[in-house]
Amino acid sequence: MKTIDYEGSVFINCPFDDAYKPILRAIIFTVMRCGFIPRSALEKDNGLQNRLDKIQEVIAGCQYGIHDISRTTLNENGLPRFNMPFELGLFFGAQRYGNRQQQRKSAVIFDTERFRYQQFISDLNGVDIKEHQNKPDVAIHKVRNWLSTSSGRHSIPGYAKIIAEYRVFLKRMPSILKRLHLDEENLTFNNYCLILEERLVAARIVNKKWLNND
Amino acid sequence: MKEVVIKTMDRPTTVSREAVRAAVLADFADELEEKKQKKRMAKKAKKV
Repeated sequence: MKTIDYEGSVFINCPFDDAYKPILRAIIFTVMRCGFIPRSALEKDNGLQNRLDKIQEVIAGCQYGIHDISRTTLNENGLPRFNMPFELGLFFGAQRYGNRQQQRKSAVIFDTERFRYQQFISDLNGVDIKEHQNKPDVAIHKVRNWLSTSSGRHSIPGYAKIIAEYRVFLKRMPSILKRLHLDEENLTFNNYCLILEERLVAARIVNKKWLNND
Repeated sequence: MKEVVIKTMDRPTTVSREAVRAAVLADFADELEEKKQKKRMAKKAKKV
């Protein structure tokens, strides 16, 4: 197993429900296309480790974090789902009380509307919350810009290029999945990441060859 | 401009990396063929 680099890892603290899938997949694509590794507690498949341990381990291994608190809504029992704000708190805590490496943490926080959070976490007042309006293209644009400015990497492509490439990938995904006998509905985080990695690596090689032959 | 290096990570998956690589490359071949086909069609339509 390869060691994962802290400076290149991005903790994905986002909902995994069906309605959010288009945004989540767009975010993961952007993270990888910008040269980073998306990390989630879902990547670990160890029944002996409890969920909170997994989350803490992933947070400790990531310099960057994408937090989406847009699903802080009431469920059928009138209670809010609070996993994402809780994990955001852990991330803040690691940055505030951790060692030098942990103090370099950087995060982007999303909600559907910019100031909605004031109604349920007023402690975040003064923190820059970004809105994605439930649109994958907006999420791609904002994640790309944040990764570019916070990492200072100048090799990151522009957001329009990433959006165009993502659209092509979405068109190709059904046929790739068909070849692998996988269905889109039940595609796991890990399988999605693996397909993306191979597609992005192959795209660079194939496009270069293609351009040279044209 | 320097190109981004795509980073990979080993995760527990239900399909192997080799199988995914083969599927992705086969799909690329299809994609290129579809593009060529489109070009040919466009040329034909111009001639007509």
